[in-house]
Amino acid sequence: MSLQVDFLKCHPGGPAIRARFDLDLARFGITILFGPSGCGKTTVLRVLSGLDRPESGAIILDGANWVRPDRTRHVEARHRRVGQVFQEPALFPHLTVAQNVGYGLRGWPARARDERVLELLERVGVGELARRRPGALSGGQKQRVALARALAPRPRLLLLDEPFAALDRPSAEQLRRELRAMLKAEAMPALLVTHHRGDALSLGDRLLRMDQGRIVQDGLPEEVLTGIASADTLGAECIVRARCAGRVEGLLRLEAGPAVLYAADPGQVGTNVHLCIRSEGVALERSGPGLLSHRNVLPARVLDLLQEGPLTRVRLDCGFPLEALLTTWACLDLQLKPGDSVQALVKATAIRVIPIDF
Amino acid sequence: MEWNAALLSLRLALCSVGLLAPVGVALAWPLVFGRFRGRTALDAVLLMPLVLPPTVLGFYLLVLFGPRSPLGQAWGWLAGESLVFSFSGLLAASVILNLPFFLQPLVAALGGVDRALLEVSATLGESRARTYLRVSLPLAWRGLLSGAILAFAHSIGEFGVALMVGGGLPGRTRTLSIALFDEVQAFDLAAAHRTALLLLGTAFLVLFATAWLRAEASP
Repeated sequence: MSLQVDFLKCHPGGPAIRARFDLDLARFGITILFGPSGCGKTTVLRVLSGLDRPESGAIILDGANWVRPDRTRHVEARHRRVGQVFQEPALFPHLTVAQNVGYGLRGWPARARDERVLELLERVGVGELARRRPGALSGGQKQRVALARALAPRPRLLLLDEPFAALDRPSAEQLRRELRAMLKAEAMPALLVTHHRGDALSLGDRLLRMDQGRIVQDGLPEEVLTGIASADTLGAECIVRARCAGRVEGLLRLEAGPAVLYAADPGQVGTNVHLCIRSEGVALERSGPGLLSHRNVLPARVLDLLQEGPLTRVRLDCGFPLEALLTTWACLDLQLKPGDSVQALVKATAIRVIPIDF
Repeated sequence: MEWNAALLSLRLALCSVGLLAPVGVALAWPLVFGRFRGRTALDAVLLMPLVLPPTVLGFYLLVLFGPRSPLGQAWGWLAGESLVFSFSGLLAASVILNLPFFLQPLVAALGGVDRALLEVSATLGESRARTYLRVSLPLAWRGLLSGAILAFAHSIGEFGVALMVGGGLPGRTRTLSIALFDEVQAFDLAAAHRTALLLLGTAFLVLFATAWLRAEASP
């Protein structure tokens, strides 16, 4: 099963949103729709679920049109079997938790419906709340119920619109850690909207990057996000997959190809991680006296230099791509040029470790 | 006091609300969700009974229901009785008159239901009509109830339209407020006091109930 998407959606007074991508709905997989606020991510979800109509274009599921280019056909949301979890849980306040989850199962035999509701409540970890009303739940519990409700009728595709945004931090963290397993247990292909790099790296199999109403990149999360500046860094981040090989003096020992790095333990780390290395946390020196292996020193080759006013961005190859953001003075002092061999010194605090949940 | 008139008024009010409930619930839908030509005009027409003098409305209904009108003739053929000066005519007039009283709080409450809930319902495979029944109406129950209470109170005390269309025939169309008018005409002030007090008490209870509902709705 595959979904081909190519449409144009205009909002009065807003930017035009042009989305073009394919989604494989035959197997489990989380596709991340990543981009800054206001770039049109939510609009893409609303057009996919059928809540909004595009101005032009087509959405085709296995050769059958949901939306036809000539606007002669628009399959309504209720016939698409696309589940959606919004930022706010939007539970029906007049129904119990179990009734909320069973809402989309009206045509099912009573017994099958009850079993399915119970199965899902257990799966999302709120089995004991079945008889409660939404008003008596915490934010995290509500979002779990909303997730169960969307999954219950076995949709073809699940759309998640910043599902952690309205939650307090501990609940968000916990749901983030469990979400992938929940979706995998249901074999549910999902499209998750986020502007949070951690979400993208720890949950995504594939990432579509949106900017100003266009999808500008499509690839593995670590590939797409490498080199894109984020709000909390001065320069770009280099993102690399690594293996966690134990702990030394409270630091994690991380192996990225031949290179070994040490970084602070964020907790809940399994074997596989992504390392996000801020380029302003990388210093360079010419091959110097014997340095101790406990520091993050990587032999590297200079690929090129890009001067940005008083700063210079140095692209390096140290078994994986890395960037250093130096003052232009420092570059002149070191007399750096492409092809040089240098030592990259990476501050342990400049490395962010993001566990991968698979 | 005229127990006949009191019972007739009570029967009229209960039947009006009983008919208004399905009619109002069906009419409220396009008023809340509909986007169509002539919507503003429809809004105005439905609000007219609020501002028209009851005698004006009563006059037009008398013409509309009269034995020479197509409606009056059709009803006469169907039910074997005239629509004017009968309980059914009185009831029909009461339903039309009370429609805005019933609709206003209901439409306001339906409009206040979170749109996100309706969208969730659509993504879960429910049609608009079913969403209306399963989500909108249950969440707008306060509006439904206060509309019913207002319509009940208003129809129990209706005078102008009831007199024009019903004619005040004792036992058939003479409602409590027409009885009060007759009692005053006959200088039976003691009876008039009792009748007026009954209507006053009913009005107070009803308004108290709606105010209480409103207070509960916005804690």
